[in-house]
Amino acid sequence: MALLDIDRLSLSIGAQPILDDVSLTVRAGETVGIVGESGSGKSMTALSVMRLLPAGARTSGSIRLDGEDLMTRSERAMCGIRGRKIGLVFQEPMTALNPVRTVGDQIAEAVRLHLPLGRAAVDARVATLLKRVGLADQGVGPDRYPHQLSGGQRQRVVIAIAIAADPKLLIADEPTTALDVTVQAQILALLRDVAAAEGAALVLITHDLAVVADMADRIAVMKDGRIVEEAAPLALFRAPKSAETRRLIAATTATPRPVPAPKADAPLLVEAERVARAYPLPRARLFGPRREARVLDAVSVSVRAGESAGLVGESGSGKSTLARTILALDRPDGGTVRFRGSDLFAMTASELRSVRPEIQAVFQDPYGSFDPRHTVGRIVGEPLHLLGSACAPDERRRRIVDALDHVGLAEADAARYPHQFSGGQRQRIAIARAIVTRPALVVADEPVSALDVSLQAQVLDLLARLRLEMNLALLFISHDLSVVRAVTDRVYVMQSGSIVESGATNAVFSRPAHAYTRALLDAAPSLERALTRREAATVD
Amino acid sequence: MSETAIDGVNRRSMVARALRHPSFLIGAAITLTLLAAALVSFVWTPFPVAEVVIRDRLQPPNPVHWLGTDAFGRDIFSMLLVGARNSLGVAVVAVAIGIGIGVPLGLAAAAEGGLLDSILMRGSDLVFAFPALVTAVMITAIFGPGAINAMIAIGIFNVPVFARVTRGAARALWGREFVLAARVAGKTRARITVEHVLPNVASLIIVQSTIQFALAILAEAGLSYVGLGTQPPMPSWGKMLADAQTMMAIAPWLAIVPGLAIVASVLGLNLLGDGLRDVLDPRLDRTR
Amino acid sequence: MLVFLIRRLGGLVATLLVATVVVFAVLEILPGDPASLMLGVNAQPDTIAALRTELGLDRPALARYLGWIGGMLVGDFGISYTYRVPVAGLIADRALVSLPLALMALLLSTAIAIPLGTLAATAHNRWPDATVMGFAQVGVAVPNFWFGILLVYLFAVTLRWVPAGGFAGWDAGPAAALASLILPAIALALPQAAILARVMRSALLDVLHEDYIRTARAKGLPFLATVWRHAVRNALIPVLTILGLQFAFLIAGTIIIENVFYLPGLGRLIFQAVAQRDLIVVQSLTVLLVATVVIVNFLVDLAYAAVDPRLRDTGR
Repeated sequence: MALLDIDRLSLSIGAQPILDDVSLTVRAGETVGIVGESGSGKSMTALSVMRLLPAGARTSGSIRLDGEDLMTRSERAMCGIRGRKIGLVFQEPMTALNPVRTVGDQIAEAVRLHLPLGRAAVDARVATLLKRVGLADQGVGPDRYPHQLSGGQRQRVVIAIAIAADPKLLIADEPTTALDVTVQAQILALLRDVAAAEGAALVLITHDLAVVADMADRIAVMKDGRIVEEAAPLALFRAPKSAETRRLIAATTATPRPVPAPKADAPLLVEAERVARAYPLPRARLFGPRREARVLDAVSVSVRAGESAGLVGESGSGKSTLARTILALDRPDGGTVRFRGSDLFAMTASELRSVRPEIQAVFQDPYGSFDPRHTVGRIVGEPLHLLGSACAPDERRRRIVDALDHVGLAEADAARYPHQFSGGQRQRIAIARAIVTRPALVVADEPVSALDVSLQAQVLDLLARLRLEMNLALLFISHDLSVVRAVTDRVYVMQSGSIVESGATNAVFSRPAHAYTRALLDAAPSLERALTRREAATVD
Repeated sequence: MSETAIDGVNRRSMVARALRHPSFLIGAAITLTLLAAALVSFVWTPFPVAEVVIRDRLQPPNPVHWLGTDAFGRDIFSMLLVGARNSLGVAVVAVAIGIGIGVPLGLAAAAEGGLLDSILMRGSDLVFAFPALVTAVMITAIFGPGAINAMIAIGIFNVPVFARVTRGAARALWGREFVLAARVAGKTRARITVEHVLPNVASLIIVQSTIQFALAILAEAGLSYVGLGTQPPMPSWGKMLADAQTMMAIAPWLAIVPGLAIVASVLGLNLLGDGLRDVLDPRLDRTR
Repeated sequence: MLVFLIRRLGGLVATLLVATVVVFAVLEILPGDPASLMLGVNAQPDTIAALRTELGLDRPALARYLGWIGGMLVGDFGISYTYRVPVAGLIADRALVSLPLALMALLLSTAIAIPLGTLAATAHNRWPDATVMGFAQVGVAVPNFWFGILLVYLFAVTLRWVPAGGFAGWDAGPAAALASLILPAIALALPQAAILARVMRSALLDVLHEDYIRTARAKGLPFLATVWRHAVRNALIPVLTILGLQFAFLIAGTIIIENVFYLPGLGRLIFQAVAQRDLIVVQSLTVLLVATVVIVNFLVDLAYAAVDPRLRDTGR
């Protein structure tokens, strides 16, 4: 008998249909992956099983756990099932723990709720759990508070809470999306270990095909609240039946159109030399020494005309700080940034204004990078004021329409507001704004990280096309190695404020010289690698 | 495309939201009534407000004196109308002082940060440490009691309120990517403040204004009650209450009427503020 | 933690110091010479001069300022110009009325507001929520002195349960003294409670949307237990902020309410002192009131650190 049996589950919240006829079974001890893009209903399926849906939700169908119908259980009975029979791991480790209570306290609570243990036995169980999730080895005791832990450590605490009462089913909802790639690999390995050791079934919800290809015994693909395909990984990815699966695979493996590398004698556009930046930290003791956090430590990067340079590193490595320095938004504590040979930070305000049209930027957040009160036309035209009187109203209008046209938007879109566009379209608007002054260089800081994989592919291809058409140089900043590999000629690898390795992208990725680069490459999930490994396993 | 093109859909939906919002409608109705009462009092009152007719003293409400008369035979309804003018006048000036000084300070502190920001925050801490009434007492001690000094005392307290609200919201905006994009577009801090920051904090300032307006009416009533605000013979709601207190046993309606006027005005303004908050910001959860 | 404490303590002293300068400077501008006011219009110039010397008014401003501050540090607030008694004793007598009143009002409003705000948030969008918020909406709009007048009318004039005003004095026993403070405390507490209940409700609603609430629910913790164990303490953080800010209003309210109930507290003293140009009393009293507000806000900071472990670490 199946451990979990979801039968014809439908869900709507208010008038909004969310899930439509979802059926899925999970057998004891197996790992089932659920993949799909945002809004496909993955998370809502998990919350339906836990009966933790938002107010106003209406459901139909049945959800059986060990033969017991959860849909008809009382709220009181559900409290005995949550945590005891089903453990849940969430996406946001930074906010998933109560900031004012110790981690030991929060784990102990989950133990006490379901297991009839005395105080000493609970404490012992907490110690065992901390050891089980690898925190004891990292020196994390039960008396620590969440803010004293890293994101990966917090996710380990959340996993400890989820397995505190030995549930037979673990549901992990995008458990690693918010984590750095090396931490992601550790947490996935831990989840797999824990589930195997406890004999628990694991439902892994993710947008990342490579992750499920690697972890799951069976995968369900969701689109618009329905399961469109369900199969074992090899069958699913080698012989996809549904259009959605094919679309997801194509988007994951898509490479943007090739752009020829610039000639070796192309002039240098930007040279950042030994750029340093530090923030003061509060003193540990009243008369203790002044402390500072070094965000950038003598970092040197350069970009040639027409070249695409990549900057890759994990969160907190200083990538964005470097971007802001190159954009002359923040003054560095040391070092220089030169554009076409002249020092940006030695310029007068008017000299800087004459350089700004040449360096533009695209940022990560497609929702936050527009003033919600401005029309798209006004947003895209904002940098044009730099051209001064050279840009009369007619010319201005022509340029805006031209930029919109370049990114595949219509002239009529100029009169609309950003909130009327989807995430992918918004990133097109951001790119239109960046090219409206016909710059020589665009600094793109995580431009596709907030987008679903199919939109990522489109935006990356758009950037490639613009490079071809406008001979645009790109400084492409990302934590995602596969994206950087696809769009850059040369790459810098950054770790805690320093460049640890740089060179031609192909060379660095195929023959990494630095241990950190190797660690990053090993940890990065890859669909092809996961499938090859599975094929090798079946042949054996 | 014109720079000022406004999407018609947006504005229409805002009006539609306003017309469907009960607190907004009730609040707006009360506030308009208050305003009308204040304006009418300039051209017409049933009786001259300062007219003392001892023969008619302490009449309960009746067809001639709709809300009765006080211990000097003055018509309560007339005093109420003029009192509305007085309350509104003090509140308008006090809020204007707060906005006029506080908002630019808050915008500048958010744009410049550093020393200016620290000075502003410490300065507002200092003003907040003085209970508003103590400030009023000190001002009165120097310049003597009066409506003008009540305006200044309440206004001084409003400055850090608006400065902090503006600064907080503006600082959050300065961290947003669209401000970063404007800086990449080479706009100066002053221009970004005018084009991006101020329009986006405006609705917050409007909502805060209604709250401070309500508080100012309460504060003016309190000051007049203890004799530090509007001076006789000019009637004010607080002074009417102070006079009524001694007559409680024989003429309780004297204390009820001005009190209800204060409660209604403050309630109306607060409802208006709650309503405006939802109407001006569609992203906000309406039910909260 | 220690760094945090000392930083806040430093801020407290600095605020107080600036406050004394402001108060002193403002009252320096005050027109009218206290000595001639005290002696009346017919006084001889040399009598006035003698009094000025006796009061120390002929010394330069800086010397008087330093003398004043130095005196206050050792508990010597000077001699009242009108009453000719030490200001410290004058203030201490009156503070025995005002401080218990403010404290009672504070406790009362918190005791009313926290449970009601919690009730409203947990019953979000149902009738208890609507009822509590309706009362809070009106409560915020009621001037405390008017509410006091109504209370007097109902309980003293009509029902005759309590005296209409005045203070029995602590000599008459704590029960009688507290009884004369009950109505004023209720009048003060109600509008405060309305504000606090609204803050508590919205803070709790915000917290209930946090991810860690979902974590607690996923453990199998029932909803109300989740609210109690995980939400309330986090929601108290913004409530504390408002509580600290509201204390200044409470002081102002106390001053007015003392007029309604004819209580011989600090509020009455400050009005009398202003009317009689008793500068030294006004100065000292203002600084004392400011000091109370600043100290209460310091205590709020301490409470923050007790509630929020993040503050204990950063030394912010």
